[in-house]
Amino acid sequence: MIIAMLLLFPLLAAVPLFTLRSRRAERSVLLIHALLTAGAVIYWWLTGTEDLIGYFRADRANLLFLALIAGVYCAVVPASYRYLEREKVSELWHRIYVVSMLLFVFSMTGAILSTNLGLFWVFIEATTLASAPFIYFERRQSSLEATWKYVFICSVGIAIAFIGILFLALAAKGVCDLFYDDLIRNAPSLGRFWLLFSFPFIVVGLGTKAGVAPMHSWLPDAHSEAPSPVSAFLSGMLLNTAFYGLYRVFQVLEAAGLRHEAALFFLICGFASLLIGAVYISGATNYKRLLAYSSIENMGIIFIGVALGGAALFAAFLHLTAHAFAKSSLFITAGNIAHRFGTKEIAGVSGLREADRSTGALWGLGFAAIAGLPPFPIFISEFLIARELVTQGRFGLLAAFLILVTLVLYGMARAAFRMYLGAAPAAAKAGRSRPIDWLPQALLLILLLLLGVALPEPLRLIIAAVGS
Amino acid sequence: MSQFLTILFGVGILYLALTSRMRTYIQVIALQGFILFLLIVRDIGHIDWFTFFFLAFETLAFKTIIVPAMLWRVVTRTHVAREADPHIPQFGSIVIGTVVFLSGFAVTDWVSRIDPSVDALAFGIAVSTLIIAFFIILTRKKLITQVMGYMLMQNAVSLLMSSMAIELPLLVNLGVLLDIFTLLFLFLLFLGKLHSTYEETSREKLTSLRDQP
Repeated sequence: MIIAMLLLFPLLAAVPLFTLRSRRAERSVLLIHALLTAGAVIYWWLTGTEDLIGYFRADRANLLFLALIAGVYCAVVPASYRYLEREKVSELWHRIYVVSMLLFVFSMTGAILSTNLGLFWVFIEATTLASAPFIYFERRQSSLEATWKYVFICSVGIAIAFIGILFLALAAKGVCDLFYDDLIRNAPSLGRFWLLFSFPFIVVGLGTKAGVAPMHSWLPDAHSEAPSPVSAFLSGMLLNTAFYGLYRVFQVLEAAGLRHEAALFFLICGFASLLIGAVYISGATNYKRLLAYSSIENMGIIFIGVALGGAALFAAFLHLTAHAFAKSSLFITAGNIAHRFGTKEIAGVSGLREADRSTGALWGLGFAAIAGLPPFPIFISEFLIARELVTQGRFGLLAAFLILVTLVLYGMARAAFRMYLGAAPAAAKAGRSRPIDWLPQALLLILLLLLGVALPEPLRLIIAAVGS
Repeated sequence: MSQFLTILFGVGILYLALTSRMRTYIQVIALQGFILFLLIVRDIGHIDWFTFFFLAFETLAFKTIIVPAMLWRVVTRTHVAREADPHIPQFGSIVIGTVVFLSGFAVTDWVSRIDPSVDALAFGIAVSTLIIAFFIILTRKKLITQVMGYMLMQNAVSLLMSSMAIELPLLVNLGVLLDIFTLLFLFLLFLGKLHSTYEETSREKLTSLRDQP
């Protein structure tokens, strides 16, 4: 019932918006949808499992991802209000923004709730279609270029994932359908050759959407060109949604006794992403692109954690949670900075602490959270991954991990301090921030601080349940 | 008969490696759609009527008529008659296309030994079609040719599915069709915008967003 409501609401609500032509109605629908999503997550957390016609299910395995969608959505809605107000968008584009947001969240929720890999594919492809108007939203020449690259590269990637899913279906032919539970239960009976053959296709395909190297080329363009609240969603949730499907297939291979082979692919993608992050963050001149490269790096860390297993598996999902909240907060704050300074170039921003204390503080704290400074949870997740590398005796990988993470920290710190310190231009000091400008990000960061200081037992169980 | 159709499907894609004319690309996409329809008709006794009507609609209406018509409309609007100056010269394309096509038969032999349940010839042709479609996407400069490469890839995926005799649930099939239709619509919409922004819709024009390490 709740699943049906959550999936039908955005579809049914989008239709009357075209006849009502009221900005207030459009914003209300967005807020109601965000609150509904949050309410549904709380309901499932309290009651456990819910199933809809066998194809959709909310349970302990996907509750973390649903909670992240709800959390990021609740922060993105007020930020979207401010963005639409500041940019003075036309009635038509206001409607396009709201409808696209409804469909985008619908497709991500559908992907997470899907119990069938084929259906997951349909929703993942739909996320590309629903989010494409956002990348083009500011209608610059660069936006058009970013949109084309985003739609084309992701669609080719997703088509490759579909080929992998077909090979997986061939491995399961005569044994079971493409339902996750069936695949995991019957994993030892699946055709090993086709199962192993399917995995590189699925990693390349869904990895493209998850933004891991070497399939990441669309990500910095799309994240930097989209409106900042949407960048928060792209980075905070879209990458995780694609990763969710990938992890489900990883579990099938693990159950089939092919963990070593699957982990190898994840390790390669993970370290390649860390390397790309380290190299490009140091040279970034645009702070939204810097945050995008940081997303590639953080997805790499998540892949490494899953590949290592053991304590690093828990660390990977803790990292995923912390990255979703920290990066959403940073992207929303980046939107405020771009509005105040009129540029996305790092060199064009200085004296943030002086120009706007709340935005400056959020930028500084957001940097601390994403860079993994204690007591933020990314410190814990990176420490656990490093410890797992020591436990497994993989000292070469440990050295590479620590060097690359340090290079990323240096690159991020250089840009963050340059923007935070110094003298602010007079024009940037004009106007004060309203609570709606800083409250959503502040709440996300406070939540992260609490998670870092003392991880509540119910949340620890939810994070642990994803990997079980 | 079905072997003849499968080989014809492959010959079509081989022909594309030799040509640069947009009209030919569209004709081959339509021909492949029609061959996929005939392969569905061949299986009429093995699938239920509902699935048959769905697949017949997908292959005959969508892949044979709607997709080529939409592509043709864009080609005539943008006045792109042929792919000029590809990254790999015509002779190189011919050699690579032929090698890939012949490799498809090697794949056929390999698959028939690994898994006898797979229609090895169709599998081999589907794999070589996929590789040539990728080759077209990577080596052609015009964005419309890249879209055509993507649609050829989708045709290859349909042949691959047919070769493995895999039936996905109708809900999934419907979703896939809806996604690909919307995607094609978006491709052509943004292609139109790119055409009105840049004088020429070539990949080489899309270089403003680049980073230096």
